[in-house]
Parts: sequence; C-alpha cells; structure tokens
Amino acid sequence: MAKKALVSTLENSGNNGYRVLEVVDANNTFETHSNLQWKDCPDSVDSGTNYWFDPVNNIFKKLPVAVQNTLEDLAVDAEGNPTEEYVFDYDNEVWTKVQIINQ
Amino acid sequence: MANIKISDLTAASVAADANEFEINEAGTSKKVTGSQIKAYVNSADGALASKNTVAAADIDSDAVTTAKILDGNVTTAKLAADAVDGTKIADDAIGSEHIQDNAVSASELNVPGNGTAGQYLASDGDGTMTWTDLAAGGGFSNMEVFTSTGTWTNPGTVEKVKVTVVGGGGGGAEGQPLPANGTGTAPNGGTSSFGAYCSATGGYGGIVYRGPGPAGFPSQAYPGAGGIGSGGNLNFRGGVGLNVKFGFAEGSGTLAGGDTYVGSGAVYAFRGPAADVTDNGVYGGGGVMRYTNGEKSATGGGGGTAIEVVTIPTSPVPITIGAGGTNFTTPVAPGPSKTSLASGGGVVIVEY
Repeated sequence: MAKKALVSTLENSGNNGYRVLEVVDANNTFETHSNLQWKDCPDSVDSGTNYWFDPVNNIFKKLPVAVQNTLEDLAVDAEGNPTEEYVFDYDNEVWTKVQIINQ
Repeated sequence: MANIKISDLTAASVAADANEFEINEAGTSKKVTGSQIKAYVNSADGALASKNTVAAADIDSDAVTTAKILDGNVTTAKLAADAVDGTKIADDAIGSEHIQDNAVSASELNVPGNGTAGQYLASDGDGTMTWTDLAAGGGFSNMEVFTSTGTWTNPGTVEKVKVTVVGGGGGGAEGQPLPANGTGTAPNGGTSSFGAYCSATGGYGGIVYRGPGPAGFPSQAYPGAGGIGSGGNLNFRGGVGLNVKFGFAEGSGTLAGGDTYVGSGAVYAFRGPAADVTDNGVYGGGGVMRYTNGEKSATGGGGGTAIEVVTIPTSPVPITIGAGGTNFTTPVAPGPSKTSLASGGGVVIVEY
C-alpha cells in the first residue's frame, strides 16, 4: 500500500526542512488546511517521529533521534572534560565524532 | 319743440359735476346735475363707501387672488377638514415633529402585513422590508464537541460558526533502562482538522537518550514541544511538557504534560507527605511516563490550537480528531514504580 506523509510547512525540522506529522496509507488521508500538505512517501517512512521533509529535494530524511549512535566513548582531558563531541550529518544521516574547538 | 332722441345727441368726453341730466320726477321732467347724482349714490343703501364689510355677494366668483391675502393670515380654521392633500405638500417637507407620537404603524411602511409577535424587520435591500424571525438568544446557543472523527452538518440556518481545533497531545517517555547510545521517543500527537478551514498539529512526543556510558538511567530527557494551529484567525502552540524536581528525596519529581487552550496535560504531582495527585491529559494535553522520582522522564507537548470564525458555504464539513501519542517506556520493567498517564486526544469545538 502506497503511503502518504502529512508535512507541516509551519514547523521547521531537520536541516531547513519541515516537520513530518504523521504517515498513513494513501487512502486514509483527510482534509487539512493548506499549510499542511500530503506528500507521497516511501514505505520506509514509518511514522512522523523519526523523519523530516526536505522541500528542496522533495525527499524524506531521518532525524538524528532515529539514527543509532554506535561510536565509542568521547575522549576526555586530564580533568575529565570531553574533548570531542558528536555532530549529526543531515545529508548523510550519520553521527560523526569531531574535536571540540575551544574558542 | 322738435323731438330729438338721446342717441342722436353728441357724446360728451366725460361726465362732470356741472353736467345737467334729465330726470322724470312724478311725471314732471326736471334736470339734475352730476354733483346731485353722485351725492345720491354715495348716500343710498348700495353705496360701497358706506359699508363696513365686503359681503360674499359683493365678490365675484374666483375673484380673490393670493395678492389680496396678507402674508401669514390663512389660519387653520380657514381650511376645510381633509382639504390638504398630497399635492399641496412639498417633497421632503414633513419633519418628524409633524408626525404624531406612535402614529406610524406597519401600514405606513413598505412591508407586507403586520408580522407576528417577536418578529423584526429585515431590509430586502431594495427599500422594502420583510418580517423575519429573530434567531434565539442573538449569540451562541449551540456547542458541539467532537472528540472523535466525524462530520459537522449545518442544521440549515447557520451562516457562521466559531471553530476551535486542538491537536492531540504528545506522548511521554521514560527510559529505565536504555541501552548504551539508546534513544526512546514517544509518538507525536495526531493532527486535528475542521475540513480545509483550519487544522492543528499534535504535540511532540518526549525523547529520552542515554549516551555511551554505563547502562542505567537515560542521561538526557527532552520534553515535547507543543503543536501549532493553522488557518485560524488565531493560531498558537500548545504548552511544552514540564519536569520539575523539588528536592532530593526519592519520588520528589513532579511531571506535567503540556497544556492546550482547552485541555490540561497529564500530571503526576508529588505531594510529599500527602497523597500524590495523578491524572491523564485531556483535550490535547501531553502525556506523562514516570519512573520513580521521574527526573529523567520526558513529558509530551500539548496540541496546537486554531480558532476561526468560519462562514459556512456548504455542509457537511469533515472533522478529523488527532489521537494522543502513546507513552514510551522501555520493555524491561525494573519494578513497580512506573506510572503511565495518557495524553489527551485532540478536540474540535463548533459553536453557533
């Protein structure tokens, strides 16, 4: 069954994208105000919790919360403060460990 | 003496006092002067100079013109009853002071009939009026509350309705225990809509996260933000979920899902020596999933709100109610201290 995702153009999400509200079978859409728009989406978009909509490329991408961070512990300095942090790459949907640059 | 007819005499240019005129006085012909005739006429009964008034008989029919009447001297008594008709009154000349109190009735207005008790006059837009029934109360007299998907049908006479649309509340989350790098995300609340007129998105679900450290409590708890209204005259967000830690005692955390314009979020209120207060969310309020002291629980956000006055061109209008997001909890229950307080589903209120 083809899926449709309801996208809120009023609510930002991801990287300059929009919030995905919910995902339903294509024949279960309902009438909404025009600021909320139904978009065709792949079956992999299983709910509105884990994805955001990229209006530039007209595709759905994972939110950081939906991507398991499997990297190791962060390095720390002599005082136990972390010298690294995880940064999420929205384009490639991966967490990357980077050095913290002190200002 | 020869007989000479008067008609044969030479005509005088004018009569004068000294002229002599022939008269017959008791069979004897005599003469009188013009002065004698004038004196006689002026002293006789019919002389105008001797009269105090002009009798009707002295005035010819249709002989008195307006020039013979002094300005401002025609009184009401000189007018016959019902003698002044519409042609004698200038246009736009009758002011309100010339209309007797309570004298204008329906028959003097351009409206058919007298109507019935309680009716009022409504303009037809063309100078005429029609007796019309007044809507009961003059304000809202009906309120329909939809807590499940359905249809609003115009009863037939409603032209405008006030609609309040509230999205569903986000679910609450807790994560005892979460695996390393684990995340727990409660579902968002669902979207509510009054047709295409206005909609309100659901509140965000709470998120708990545990870093790569030792297993146990989640290291972070992120309450859900509120949803937002769209298409209304007023559009605003639901409240964000709250997590308040009052002290260090076990069980001292108070959790509250985000409120909405018409509903309250779920609540777990720690009351110390008194009994704790707990309740589910209603009308779009966010949910609460609590573990023991609750300090690492993430409550759900409230649904957004849209309020609009809608002119109804057609009916019926489809109504969708967003469900409340379910609470998230880890599958391994460490003990009896988890408390799930549900979020509230959305609501659509139609007033007319």
